Amino acid sequence: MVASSILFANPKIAEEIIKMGGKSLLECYQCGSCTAVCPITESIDVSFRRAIRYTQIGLNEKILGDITPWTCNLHGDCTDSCPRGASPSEVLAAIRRYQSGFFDPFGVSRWWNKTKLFEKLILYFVVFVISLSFYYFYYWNSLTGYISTEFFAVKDLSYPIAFSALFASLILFLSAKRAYRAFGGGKEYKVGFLSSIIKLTKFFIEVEKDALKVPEKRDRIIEHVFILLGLGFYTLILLFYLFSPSYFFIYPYGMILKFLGYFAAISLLYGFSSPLMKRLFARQKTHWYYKKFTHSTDWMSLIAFFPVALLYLAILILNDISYYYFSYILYIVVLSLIVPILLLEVPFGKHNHWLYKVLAYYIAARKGFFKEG
Amino acid sequence: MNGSVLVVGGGVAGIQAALDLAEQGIEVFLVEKAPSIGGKMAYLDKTFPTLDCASCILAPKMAAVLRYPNIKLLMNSEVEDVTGRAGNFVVRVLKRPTYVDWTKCNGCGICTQKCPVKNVPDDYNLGLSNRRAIYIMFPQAVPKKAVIDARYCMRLNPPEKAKKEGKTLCGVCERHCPTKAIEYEQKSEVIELKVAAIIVATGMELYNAKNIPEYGYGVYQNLYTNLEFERLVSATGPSGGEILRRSDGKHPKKIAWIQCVGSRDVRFNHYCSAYCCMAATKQAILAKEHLPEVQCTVYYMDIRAFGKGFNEFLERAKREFGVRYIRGKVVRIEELADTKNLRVVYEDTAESYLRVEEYDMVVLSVAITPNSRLPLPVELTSDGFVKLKDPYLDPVSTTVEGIFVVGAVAGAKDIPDSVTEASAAAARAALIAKRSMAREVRVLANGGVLNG
Repeated sequence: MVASSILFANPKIAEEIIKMGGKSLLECYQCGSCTAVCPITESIDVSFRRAIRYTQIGLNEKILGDITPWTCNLHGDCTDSCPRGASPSEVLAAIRRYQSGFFDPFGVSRWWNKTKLFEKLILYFVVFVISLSFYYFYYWNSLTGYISTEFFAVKDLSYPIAFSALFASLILFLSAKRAYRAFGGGKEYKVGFLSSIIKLTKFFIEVEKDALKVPEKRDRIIEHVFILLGLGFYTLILLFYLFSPSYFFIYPYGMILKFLGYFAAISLLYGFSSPLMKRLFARQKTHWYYKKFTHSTDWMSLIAFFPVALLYLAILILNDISYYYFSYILYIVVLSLIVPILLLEVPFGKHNHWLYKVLAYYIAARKGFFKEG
Repeated sequence: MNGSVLVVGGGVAGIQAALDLAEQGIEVFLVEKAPSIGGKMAYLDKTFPTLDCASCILAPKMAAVLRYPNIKLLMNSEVEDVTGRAGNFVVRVLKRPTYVDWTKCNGCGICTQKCPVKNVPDDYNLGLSNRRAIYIMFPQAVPKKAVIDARYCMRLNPPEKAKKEGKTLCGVCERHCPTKAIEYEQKSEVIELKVAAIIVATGMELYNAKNIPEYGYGVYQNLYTNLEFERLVSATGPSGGEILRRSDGKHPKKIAWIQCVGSRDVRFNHYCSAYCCMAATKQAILAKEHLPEVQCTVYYMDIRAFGKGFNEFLERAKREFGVRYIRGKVVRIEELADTKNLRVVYEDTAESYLRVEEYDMVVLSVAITPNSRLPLPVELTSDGFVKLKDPYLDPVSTTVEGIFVVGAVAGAKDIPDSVTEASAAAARAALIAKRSMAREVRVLANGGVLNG
């Protein structure tokens, strides 16, 4: 079986990676500094240099099945110490985009990662307007009927959201399946499920704890943690509102929900506005992370979520001061904003990295890539 | 008659240029900053790719410089100012005092043994050993004359207390000198030269490895630059040719060379320093010859063995001496507190995994930086080397007519290339010198008066 062991090199892949944001890909002369300085390689046997090499030559099979890019936590030590002045983490992010383009079964992600920001924004806006008009035509009459009631009943508003959430989860499920197969999941597992989970948790806490000590890295970690918490709570609350019996909104559960809601809103607002502001008003001392990662998906992931976070906080405040009518309207706007997020950003954009990252780390742990001790 | 040539820098390139010019009967002024000619090659133990003894090749040439009556040596001097143009340069040279009358000094070296100031860091051994305040730069120095280091001499730079009381201290060298050559009152003087052409051969310095914090040079004891290691293996070196660790004075068992330190790195210098690959190979072989048990490892990004016989030399190091070559850039060096061993962190790019290895001694192959801060009207490139007029067809001319550039100040290069350039530049300078001489003869023969 000679044929199966042949790897085909495709130099066009390098061009595509550069187009997807890996601007400094061809700068690399393979010294291995990035792998050696990285705090992650101290615990996991991966080589970022090799991942970049695969892309430079264009070994498609090797690139697609590589978990290495997903293990990058963007600490940025590689960029600080690269003798070629390249940004390995940026190239790795581009490789991720390339990979996720193939994991998505319909190839939309591949197209999404290559479009320009204004094209994305136009598409996003169109979907937003469609969902808003849908809400307007179908719910406006029934909505006005609710205004007199004290409870914030939005059950009937759930259908577009439910549909797009279903769509997003379907796409994500299919993509995850393909990614799992590409990463070689299920084969050659050496470590048990539980012990690998424990190892992963330990590893993440240790690595990020070390990174927190460095002021330049602290901001990014805090932003990520807040986004993660905010999105988690927000999804929980949304699910709760949409699918739970109404008596849960009565005191004291309503109070708990309210405080959770405030927490989610504020953490989301911080998590998305802080990087967005740093990008928009980049100054001399702003860390290069906010200046280098300027691919359209990086911007889109922030731009899509920022208004949701902002309006969500506004809704909570309006509710508290009993301006229910306005809060309903804003709620509809927020829901219409979430529809394009669920239809476009989550399955095809940057935010699917939560899924692939978990998957890659999990497979790495199960396959015994983690070093002992 | 203004048919002379000024050679700035008495390294191997400057020496070669001066000899070639002198052989043609042209008057040469050789200006050297140090008290001896020889330059960086005088620091070396062996040369690549033949492992010839460096001073055995260099010493005859250095001695030949003294034998030519038309080479005027201006030691301990630096060019201050250059005016004029090709065929008619006026150069002001600052001659620093040596505090020894060199016409009387016979290089017996008695003063260097009697001097009571013993803790002066030896420049020739790069601070690895100490010398006296009066010294002869190295045993093969040309000219072999003593110099007083005024910064450390008790007579010339007495302690504050003695200065206040107005005492004159010491004077030991003056008492012991058999030829009465010591002159404490010597002052620096400015010499004005009229030359037809100038050859710049100021050479290079090593890049300051302290600028690279992750390697910890200057902090870790058993970390050396390659020039320091060269002194360490040299018979005239601080330990008489024995490789001993700075921390405990023991023989190392594992030595690592790290290539491209400060070169090929956008953070420090973009260019390749050209000499380090072969120098590290040579040093690894020397280490093997000194200590057959030692394990030598060279960490490289690319081995550039481009010259004649270089690749064979490299193969020989691998095959005959078992020098280990590992492709990977070392990103960090850590010192172990108890043994003072050094731990290097790198990615072995053949295996694609992070590796950490412990060594008794680590040598940094430090980049070349040009010695180009000169009071000359020459243009420099962005990386500090002297700009060439035409790198293809006129590779020894600067942008100023009549000023030629040779050796490492024109671009990082090794000894053979520097010597080749020196001969080339000597021929070009001789053209100008002879033409200018002929012009003067013509003018004087026609009863004219020379102007400017």
